[in-house]
Amino acid sequence: MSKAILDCKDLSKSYAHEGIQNHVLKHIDLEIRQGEFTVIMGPSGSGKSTLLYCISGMESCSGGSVYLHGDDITKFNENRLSDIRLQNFGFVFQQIHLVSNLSLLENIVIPGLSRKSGSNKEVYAKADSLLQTFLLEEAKNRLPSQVSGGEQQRAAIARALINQPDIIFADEPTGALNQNNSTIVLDLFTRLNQEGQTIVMVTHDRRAALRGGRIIYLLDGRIHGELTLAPYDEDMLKSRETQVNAWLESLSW
Amino acid sequence: MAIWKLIKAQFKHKKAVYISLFLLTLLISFILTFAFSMSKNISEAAEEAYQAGKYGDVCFFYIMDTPSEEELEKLAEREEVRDLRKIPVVFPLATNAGIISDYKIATPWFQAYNPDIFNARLLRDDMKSYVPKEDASAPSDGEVYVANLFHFMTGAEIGDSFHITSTNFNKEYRISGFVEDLRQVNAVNMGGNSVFLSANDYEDLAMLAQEFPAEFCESFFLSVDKAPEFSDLSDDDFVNVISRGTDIKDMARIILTGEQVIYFSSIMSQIIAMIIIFVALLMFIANLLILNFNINSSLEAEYKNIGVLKACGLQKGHIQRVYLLSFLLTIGLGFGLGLLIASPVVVVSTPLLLGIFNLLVSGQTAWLLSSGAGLVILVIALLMMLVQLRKVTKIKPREALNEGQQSVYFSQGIDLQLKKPFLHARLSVKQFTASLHQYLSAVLLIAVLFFLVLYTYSLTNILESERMVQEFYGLDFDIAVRYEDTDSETKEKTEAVIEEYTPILSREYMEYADIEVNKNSLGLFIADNTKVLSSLLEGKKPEFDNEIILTKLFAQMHNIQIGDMVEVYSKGKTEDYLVSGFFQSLNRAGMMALMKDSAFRRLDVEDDQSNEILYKIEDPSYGEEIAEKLFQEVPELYVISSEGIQKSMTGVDAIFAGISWLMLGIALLFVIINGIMVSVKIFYREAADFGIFKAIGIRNSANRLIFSCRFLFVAFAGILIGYVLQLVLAPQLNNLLAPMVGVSTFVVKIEWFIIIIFALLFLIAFFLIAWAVSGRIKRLEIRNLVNAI
Ligand SMILES: Nc1ncnc2c1ncn2[C@@H]1O[C@H](COP(=O)(O)OP(=O)(O)OP(=O)(O)O)[C@@H](O)[C@H]1O
Ligand SMILES: [Mg+2]
Repeated sequence: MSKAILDCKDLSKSYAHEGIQNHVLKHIDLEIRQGEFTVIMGPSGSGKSTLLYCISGMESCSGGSVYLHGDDITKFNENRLSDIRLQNFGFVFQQIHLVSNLSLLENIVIPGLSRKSGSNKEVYAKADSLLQTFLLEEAKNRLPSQVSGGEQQRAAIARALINQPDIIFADEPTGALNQNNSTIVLDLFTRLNQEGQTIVMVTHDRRAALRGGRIIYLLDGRIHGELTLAPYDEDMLKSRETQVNAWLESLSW
Repeated sequence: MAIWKLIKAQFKHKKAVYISLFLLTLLISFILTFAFSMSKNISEAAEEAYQAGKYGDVCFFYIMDTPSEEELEKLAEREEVRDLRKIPVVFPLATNAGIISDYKIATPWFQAYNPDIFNARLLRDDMKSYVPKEDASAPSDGEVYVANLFHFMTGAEIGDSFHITSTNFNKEYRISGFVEDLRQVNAVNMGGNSVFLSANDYEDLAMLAQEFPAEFCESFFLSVDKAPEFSDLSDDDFVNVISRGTDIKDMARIILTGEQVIYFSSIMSQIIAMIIIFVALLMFIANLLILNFNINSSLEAEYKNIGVLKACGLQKGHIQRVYLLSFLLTIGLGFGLGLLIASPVVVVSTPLLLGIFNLLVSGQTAWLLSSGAGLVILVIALLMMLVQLRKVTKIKPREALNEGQQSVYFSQGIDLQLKKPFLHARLSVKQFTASLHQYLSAVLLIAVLFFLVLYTYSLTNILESERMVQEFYGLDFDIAVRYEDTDSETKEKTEAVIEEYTPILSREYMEYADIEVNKNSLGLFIADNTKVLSSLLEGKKPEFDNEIILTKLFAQMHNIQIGDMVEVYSKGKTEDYLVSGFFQSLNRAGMMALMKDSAFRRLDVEDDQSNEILYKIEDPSYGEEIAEKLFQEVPELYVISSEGIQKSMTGVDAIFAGISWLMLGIALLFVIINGIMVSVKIFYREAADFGIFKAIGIRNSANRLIFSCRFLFVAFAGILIGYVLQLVLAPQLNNLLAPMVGVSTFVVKIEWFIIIIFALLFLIAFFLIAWAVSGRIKRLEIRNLVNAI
């Protein structure tokens, strides 16, 4: 077994709203290992997004610890968390969230340039190679509003990758995309994972979930079940689908 | 009602906006009400004091030279004259003739207290009201009443001792009351300080004057009232008519008409009120911009909500009404409360005015005037909002719902490569240029604010005493000495005294006469050398014997241009002169002319004008000391120093500066409130971007820098435009103000470093405000930022 990059122990999160505590995450233990493609599923409101934001250092937790390479990031101050988001993590949103007045290329290079190390040239070279892999060469100087949703999401993924993060977190990355664009994005994730990229993805979509090597089912703020799958293989899709469907049905999804 | 629910929601969700709008309006309303009330109360007090004081339609003041009894009798018989009162005064020629405790009064005059001929109203001991005329009796023997300004100048109290001292006379009196005397109120200042004695004590002094003419001189004021049939005659014309062919006018040291007295006694308050109103007006413009900005950004931010509301069947009228009502309610409340708060402040501050204006001023609030102004403001704001809110009509529910939010950026901004170093500054420039039009209103606002601050600052030194003398008095001198005869020994003696202190650099001969130009009366400076003129505004100084220059104020009043020929009359002779230029002088409320000595000889061959020598000395700071010394050594001389004039004006200029600094403070407060409003607005508009930047790992400090830097650019652009506004508008505004003090121009004087300091202050302030506002980035969760709409 490969080593754990991220290890969360007894993670809890609650929101206080008008005096009432709403416990969204309840004592979650979760390990993310090097090279894994983890998919988080669960009904709406079960706390998937919250879990993702908590373990990626974007939101504070109410209890428990999240260890990144052995350091508890819940104890980090804002600046160290920022640095971790910059260097160790990449994030992909459902609503894509590119900065609307910057071109795709500019959106991609910002995290690269924000690092202390690395020259301008290296960052732009890396961005160019990502644009090439993501077939965005032509669109790179256009504004987000001037490209398709799929292209936008690919650019967002490229942005997440520019600093070669340890983990990519994606919250419903295909949620705002049509079928065709969804497949392109998912293929990209699969390819990245095959190249060794660790990914944690939240999704509603069963077909998206099939891409994972491990599916975690969240219900009411707890991990309700976990399924480990064989490495993704286009040819074995049918049997993979039946396996996942049966598992989800057993959890009364 | 649904509308009220929506309005309530508006207030609840945009507390900051409404609260600051409310505060700004309150501030404006407060200072407007204060200015209106103050100026109204002071004018009324002056008017009332004039009426009660039996001042007369015109008052002549004679020293030494007095018209003969026959002339006065003839005057009394004229059909234009209803009544004529002679008010005897004793004027000490020796220095320090009047002393209160340790304070020496340079030029006191003594007069018997007699309300029937001159009613100096007696103040009650608490100085809050007058003793009714029936109850006000003259001081007992051995007691005096002094003008209320003594109390404020010297701290003199009732019961303090007062001495009249000269070589042959020394007597102690007790101060038993303070009186109001319009002749020495504020800007009227006839040059003397009134002391009222009992009839017996006055008689003693008058006898003394007979006995020791070198120490005391008896003279009189002459109050003349117009006959009712001639009430159409202006006061100036009245003076000319009754004095034609007599010495009445020529002999008078000072002539002040009732109109002038009322005007001068309230002029300072009028100027101050004007300034406050200007500042308030500028603030109001800034306020409109802010309102405009708010409505605009509210509409942008609520684009989707409005779409939803429309989709749910609300009509555009409803939506417009929600905005209109909520903003109008806020402005209306702010204005009302400002008015209410101003009212007690007016009441509380009026007792202070006695010390400043030497008048008992009532503490009434000018409700009608102020609420009128409020109404005008409300209507203008309403009109502006109506124009803005037409945009609601254009919002189509479908598009609004699909787009969610109107795109913040319409362009990519300037073409600037993102790279290190200064990545964040570059990013900031890009964001700024991309949404430039959004910042336009912010830039305009800052421009108005910067102008407001610069202009208010420039007012703080406009009436500086030094400038008053140099630029407004019209003549350049350090010490002016009036001689009976400039060739006498006195001159040598005088100059010896001066040279004991500091060398004399130059001496210029100057005379003073009363003339009429095109039948309008004017004072005339007659100069040997026009070098002394320090305030030529246009044209050239008079060189030839047929040239004259006039104050611009007078010329404008009578529509005289440079190059025109004017008819000059003096003592029965009329000659034509060419107007070669305009100057300005505060003398005689700006009604002055100047010509060369040789030019004046054409009119008047006899040399019976009073002679003056204007000295420039090496160290002008000795001016006042020298004047005092001369007073002791050569008491028959009339000496003024520009230092002394400056000092005598420091009271006024201190108030003026105080008010201007206060206005500056208010303007700065205004800038800060506005700055916060604008940056909060812009921050929320761009919250999503900050969320993104935060999510991809840009540190809070860098994020805040990206935000705050933009305000540097906004402030910089605003400052530039504001500076241009100052260059263009300030002279215009000052030209409105200047004639009120009797000059035609105030030169706006702001040193470069002051502008730079203000500019830096603005930059720093806006940067810091933005920095503080963007502190919210820290507190906000990324998820909220990213999803903020
Ligand atoms: N800022 C917040 N304040 C209070 N409650 C919140 C907040 N954010 C989320 N919640 C609540 O936490 C719970 C979990 O939310 P979360 O967004 O994690 O759900 P989710 O599993 O991602 O749902 P979905 O599939 O619909 O995206 C929900 O009940 C939600 O209402
Ligand atoms: Mg979610």
